[in-house]
Amino acid sequence: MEIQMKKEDGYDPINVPTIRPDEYDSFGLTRQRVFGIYRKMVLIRTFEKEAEDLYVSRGVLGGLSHLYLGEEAIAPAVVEVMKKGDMVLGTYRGHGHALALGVEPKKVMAELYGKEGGVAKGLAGSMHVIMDPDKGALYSTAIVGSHIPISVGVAYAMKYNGTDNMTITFFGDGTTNIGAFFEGLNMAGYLKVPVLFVVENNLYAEYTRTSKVMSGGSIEKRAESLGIPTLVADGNDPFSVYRAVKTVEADVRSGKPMLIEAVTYRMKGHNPYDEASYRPSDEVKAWLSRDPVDMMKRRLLDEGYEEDELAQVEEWAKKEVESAEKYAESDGVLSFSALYDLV
Amino acid sequence: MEMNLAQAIRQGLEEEMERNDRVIIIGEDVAAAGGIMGVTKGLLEKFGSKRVLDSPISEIALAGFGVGAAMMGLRPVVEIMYMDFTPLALEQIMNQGAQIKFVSAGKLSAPFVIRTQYSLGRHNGPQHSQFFPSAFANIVGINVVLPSRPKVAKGLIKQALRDERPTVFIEPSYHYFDYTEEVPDGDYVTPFGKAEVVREGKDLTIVALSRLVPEALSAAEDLEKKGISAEVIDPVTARPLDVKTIAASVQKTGRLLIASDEHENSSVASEIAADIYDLCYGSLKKPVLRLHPPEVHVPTSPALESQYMIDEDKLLRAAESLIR
Repeated sequence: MEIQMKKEDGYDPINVPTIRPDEYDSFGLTRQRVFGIYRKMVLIRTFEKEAEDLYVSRGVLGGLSHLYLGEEAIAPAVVEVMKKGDMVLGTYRGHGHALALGVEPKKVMAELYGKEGGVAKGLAGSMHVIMDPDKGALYSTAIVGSHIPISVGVAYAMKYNGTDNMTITFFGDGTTNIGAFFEGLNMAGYLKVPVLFVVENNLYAEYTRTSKVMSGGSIEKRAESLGIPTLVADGNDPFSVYRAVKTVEADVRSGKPMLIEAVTYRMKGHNPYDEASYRPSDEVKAWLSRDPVDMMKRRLLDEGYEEDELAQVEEWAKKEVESAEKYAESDGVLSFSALYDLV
Repeated sequence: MEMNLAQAIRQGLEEEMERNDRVIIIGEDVAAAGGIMGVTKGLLEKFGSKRVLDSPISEIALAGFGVGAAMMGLRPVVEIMYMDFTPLALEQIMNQGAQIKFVSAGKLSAPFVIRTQYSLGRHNGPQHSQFFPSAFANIVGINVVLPSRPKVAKGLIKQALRDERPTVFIEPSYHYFDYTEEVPDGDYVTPFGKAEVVREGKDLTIVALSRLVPEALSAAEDLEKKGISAEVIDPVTARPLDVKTIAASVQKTGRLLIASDEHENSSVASEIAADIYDLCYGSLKKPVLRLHPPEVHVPTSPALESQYMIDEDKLLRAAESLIR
């Protein structure tokens, strides 16, 4: 990668390379699947750009939200290994995961709008859109790290049921400082449950550079010390992420928990209102030059896809998001009396 | 069969594990050691290590494990060794377990059980003795259960393992071994939200929480000898709280004493008192009297701890002050 890695950057050296086109076969990738990953990345990018606009420029939406802009390569690549019955748990930065899992954009958008047609009928909001178990989107929480031990319980139930399903648990670099991370990884390790932890390391815990507030400085070392083997992928390259997940999948399914650190960067602030002025401009510039959606597009062009074909994807995504927005705007609000049945 | 509280809870757990292979138990020392006070003794041998699991000292992970396993259809009983340790698990209980049905708009539920005990009276000191059910009773979406005696405790643990909400099950270890009664063989459940009139009377109502139910029964017998007829009520669950049964009693007696090992401020007893003022204002012959420990932490010294604790004598004096 072009980013110069320095120890103080706060991520571990990337040790999972990309997948070259001539290696697709050995990783079970087809042109169709690769194109599918790209479509999801573009859908997420388009959705999140619109969400940003709705929260900030147009002020249509309010409240807390955390966008996936800049991290679009990760969730679509990870969920590509999923089988029926596998489950994803994630965080408040979850629009991308929900969309990658195939949760309908209109249901995600309606949740942002607080409308009845949302994944959680508008009760839970932007921070809880990974909430469609039929699609493998089991659960998301707005509390940093709390879903890590929850995912250990989920994975234990899979093992208890004698399936070869696995649980995939997404969280950020900031989460590796919270108690639930240590307790949860330890428990996953000694119980030998089928859980894959995916750390989306965007180098910042909210407004603070994670490495500044992290003793020891390495997510990989932390996980390894708890008995959880770790691979470090380029989180802006879906092929590196996919290779990492594919490499550990069989082990995870057999009850050997693993962690993948996907190194990435938020294009924007912690939330849509945060201008992220705490990040050095040369760093931002360097990372923006590695925009995952642009890089993927360039790669597909190199692989012989036509400009037109890729432009159609953008058109399709635009229409999807427009129609999601229309749906959300016109959708109704759940009656308050229905809330009493949900406690 | 005549048995004590520890035996009754164990029997309830054992029967539910036989009845439903989704029930599992996890906690510190619960498997190989059978629990620090023996409540889960023999369950590992009977049901195996897949269903009875020792855990590290990790209350956050324990409670989270319970939430996650329950979401997937298991019925986990998570033991938190002392109630004093439950605040470590509080985040999982209140933000996750209690809210899962709500934030998923009904797609998910997490019916797990947290079993814990408070050790007041065992000289375990300020961080191994506390009783604070109101901290949990304030949380929408969970049950807070106060099993006071063997028979009711067996039915309550069975109900907890069939209920659709997460349950915090707080046992008074003071009475694990010293108070016995006849416990029915076989299957029965004790419903949540239904207070039990443990003893009928007409002159005053004593509502006693948890450890103090047997003490209140003894006090009522002493009062009887003095010509005072006390009705004793065990609320059984602090959430849902059955105020109607208490109100019906107070409408009859006109006098209410509430005794609880909690500190007074913002307690379950405060809630009961407020409800009774709402429902029985015209019937009260005296203001509601609440009997609590003093506003200090639990002292370790046995001599000081016994001064701290509510006992039969303090109950008697409080009851008599309501009659005079």
